Amino acid sequence: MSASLNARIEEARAQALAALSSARNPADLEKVRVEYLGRSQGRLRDLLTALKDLPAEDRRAAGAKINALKEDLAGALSGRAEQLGRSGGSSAAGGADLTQPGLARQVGHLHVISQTLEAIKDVFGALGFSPVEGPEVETERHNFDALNIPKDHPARDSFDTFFLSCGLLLRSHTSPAQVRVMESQAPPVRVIVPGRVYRPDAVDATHFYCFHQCEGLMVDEGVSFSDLRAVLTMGMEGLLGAGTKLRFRPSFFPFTEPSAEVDVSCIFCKGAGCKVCKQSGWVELLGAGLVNPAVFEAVGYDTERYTGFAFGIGVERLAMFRYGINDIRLFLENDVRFLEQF
Amino acid sequence: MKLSCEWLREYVKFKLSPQELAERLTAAGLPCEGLEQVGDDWVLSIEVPSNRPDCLGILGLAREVATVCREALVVPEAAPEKGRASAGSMVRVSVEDQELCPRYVARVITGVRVGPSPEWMQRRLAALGVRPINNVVDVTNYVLLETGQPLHAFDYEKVAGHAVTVRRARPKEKIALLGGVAKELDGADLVIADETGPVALAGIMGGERSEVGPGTANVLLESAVFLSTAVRRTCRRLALSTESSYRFERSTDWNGAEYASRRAAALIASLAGGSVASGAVDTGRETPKARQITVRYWRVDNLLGAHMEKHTIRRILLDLGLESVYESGEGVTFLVPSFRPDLSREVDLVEEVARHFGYERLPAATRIPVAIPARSPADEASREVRRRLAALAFCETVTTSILPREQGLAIRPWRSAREFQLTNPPRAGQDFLRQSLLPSLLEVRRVNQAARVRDVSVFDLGRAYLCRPDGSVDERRLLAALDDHAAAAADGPFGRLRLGLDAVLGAFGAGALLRVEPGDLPYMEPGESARLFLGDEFLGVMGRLSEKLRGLYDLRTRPAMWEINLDMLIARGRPMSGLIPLPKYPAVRRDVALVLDESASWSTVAAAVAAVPCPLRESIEFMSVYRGQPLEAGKKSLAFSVTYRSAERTLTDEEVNALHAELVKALTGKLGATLRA
Repeated sequence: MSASLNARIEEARAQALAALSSARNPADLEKVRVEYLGRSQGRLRDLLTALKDLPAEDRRAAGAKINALKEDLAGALSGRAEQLGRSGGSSAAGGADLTQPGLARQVGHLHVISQTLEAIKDVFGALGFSPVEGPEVETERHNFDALNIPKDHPARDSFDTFFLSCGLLLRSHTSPAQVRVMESQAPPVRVIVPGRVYRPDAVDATHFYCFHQCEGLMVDEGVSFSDLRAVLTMGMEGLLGAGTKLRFRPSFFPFTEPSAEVDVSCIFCKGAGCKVCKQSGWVELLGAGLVNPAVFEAVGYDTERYTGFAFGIGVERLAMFRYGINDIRLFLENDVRFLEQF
Repeated sequence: MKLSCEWLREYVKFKLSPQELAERLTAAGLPCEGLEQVGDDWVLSIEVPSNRPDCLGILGLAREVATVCREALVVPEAAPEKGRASAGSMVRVSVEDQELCPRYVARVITGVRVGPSPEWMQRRLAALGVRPINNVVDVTNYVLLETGQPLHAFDYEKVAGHAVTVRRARPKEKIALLGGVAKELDGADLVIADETGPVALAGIMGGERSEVGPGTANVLLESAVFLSTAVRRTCRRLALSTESSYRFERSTDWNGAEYASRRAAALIASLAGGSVASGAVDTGRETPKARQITVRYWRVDNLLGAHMEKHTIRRILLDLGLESVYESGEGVTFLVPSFRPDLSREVDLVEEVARHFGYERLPAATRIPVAIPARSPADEASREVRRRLAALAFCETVTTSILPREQGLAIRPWRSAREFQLTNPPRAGQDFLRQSLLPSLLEVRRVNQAARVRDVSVFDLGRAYLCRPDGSVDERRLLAALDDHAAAAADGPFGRLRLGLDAVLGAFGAGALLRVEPGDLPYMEPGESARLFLGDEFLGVMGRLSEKLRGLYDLRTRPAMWEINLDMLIARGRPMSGLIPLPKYPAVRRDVALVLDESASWSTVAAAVAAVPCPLRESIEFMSVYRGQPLEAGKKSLAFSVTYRSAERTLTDEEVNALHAELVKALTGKLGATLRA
């Protein structure tokens, strides 16, 4: 008897039995039946057809084997049908098993940073802010000089920067986009600039050398510190929930005056103190202030007529806070098991 | 900057507890980062902003506390008893570079007895983390912490010729600093030198040779102003940072240099004995003119969005040491003290008022004008393609743009006149600004391989950093996808990817324009690689990672992937197409399975179908491809379905059978195919 035909018979048996055991409903069973026992194109028919190529002395034995397989499969089919009828699906008794879960299917997910940026755009969009983008490869003028950060000044220390061999640099904050927006349009201005920034920080659970910020800028006649308070309070309520409180602390940024660091009441403990807020009830999320007239001068705005405010949100920081993520490195690592949680 | 409550009380009688003091200073913009009890004393750690050099001395902080508490500030006396000799006759000072050293004040104290400083001084220094050394050196450190003005004491007898010169270092000149560290200098560094060479690195550290020690009898006391940028440059280059340089880098007070000199001389005389030579050698030429700034009351209200009382504005600014020179109903003109270099504009004074009034007491506006936000076409399009790919079960990734050089160089589908290299990379060798997202996605694959995630379908929408021929930067928005599944899919290794690509192109109404041109790419496996075109324009690449590069990305598998120029699609715009009317009559579907040569591609089959004109044929759809028994080697069976429909009536079976038979006949003829039984 031909070894190859014999192998094909055994292969068909193994595959058919495997298909049967993974069949979940009568439709699956019917598929298996058609594939193996179908009259016109079933695999057993193909095997029988192949008999004619065998030497005559082998045909009988092989034919008997195929017939045995046919009987076995028929038996297995009805056995499995009975089994399915008992355990679930549309049973013979007529009811459906509503406790049975569905078969898992793969689903796609947007990255949590993307989702956070969309949320920022939505919330600040509702407050009249249009999203714009700026280049990441920047000039020293836009990243520093026009923002009132002089060369060889300790203020530059807080903006450690990656430099490129061509003399340009990777922006260390989204503020240069402020300058570009104002260079290209007259007031009123109301924009946010979500984007990627770079700083040569040593990598740890809260620092990575590439991260995201969202800058905000509003310039018009009569824009004041109280407008800044209102916009940030509403914005943070929109992002973190009604009742979120803000705390403004005086600070120093060369491009804003007065400047403030803004803390947000901890959403986990509602200000009572917990691990996330290091027992303080507050989490530092933003830097903000009124645009320094020196910046207006650098872009040719009338400093007497126009006033404005700017703010910057750390996007990873906000996302870590919103979702209770404890390590910034997870964002850019892209472990699928992390991505699938959002 | 550390602040001892006990020491602080010498200048301001505050009634707050240390905890309250910490809170109030934080609320005034001098954040307290730590509070610790040292014996009976409490020490606060204040994070002083880089624009407030005055607060790098306890007196400066005391002025803030006095303003916060509305208490008087007591500035200590600094009037040394005058000795018989005059400083001018005992020491000569010449400044060669007036720009780098605009002021140098030298005093001489003779007949000191060097020994330990008194217990109260040692305690205060120790509370602030400064190690007591001897009464002379301790006084210089004490006055530095008190006033923020760095001082240096030389052993007068070890300064050759009793003359110092403030000059730039000679190239390769060497200095042995305190603590035995030797440094080689260059012409940008400023030194204090005597006839034989440098005795101090200006503003940073004294030299070993002229150190005050137990044998010192006469002291030369230096209190100077050095240009902050010069001190900073030298510190950076030599990797040095001292209490002194830290303050000079942030700039020091012109008048403070002279005050601190007197203060320290008086303290040395009282603690170490000796006599202070009368007067001082002072190279300062012209005292810089005090800045005048006018605050207009309306402007304060205008910027803060709240009404601020005139007396509040005046009170705060006067408490901070400003001097009113002119007042009117409109506002006040103030003279800015020299210790506040940060105050240069009206708005700076507004901030002073705001922070001492309290940010938390300023109201939030109740009305914000409405405005319609505009999202750019790029932003809208990006959002749409993200949605589409996620709907097809791709996970979005966000990846860093800085790549290990080798990995970045290996895959570059886009032309770039040059590459961008970081001069200070985050890790050695990781200095390449990416020109494609594919290396980033391969790194994602590697991370997931290491995490034992078997199947990965991901996409990334991000920028590549290319250079146009004219040298300008092209931060091109690219879209890339990668698919790697352990089990073979019915539609092959590219099926899912192609589905994603078509969905993306569909968002721009460009699906029908796609041309896939098989051809070898250096980073893809030969025979599994193609260039993508939209009409005649190069759109991107598709393929499976080459076996050759698998090792470079540390992968066990060879993922399939594509990358396209999203900016090109965005530039085409998204069609605002009207609704296609829903069909009124049913469609009829017929399946075909053709047995073809391996080399016959789907696109040849599709073209052959298109070449058979039939107005009733609505679409064709790929179903499956099969290789193996009973097909011969080198053959495959390609199954697809054809949909027929009329807009006017229901088609009959006979009609469709005839059309379909005609199509099949044409296909078998043209493609040399047979129908699969």
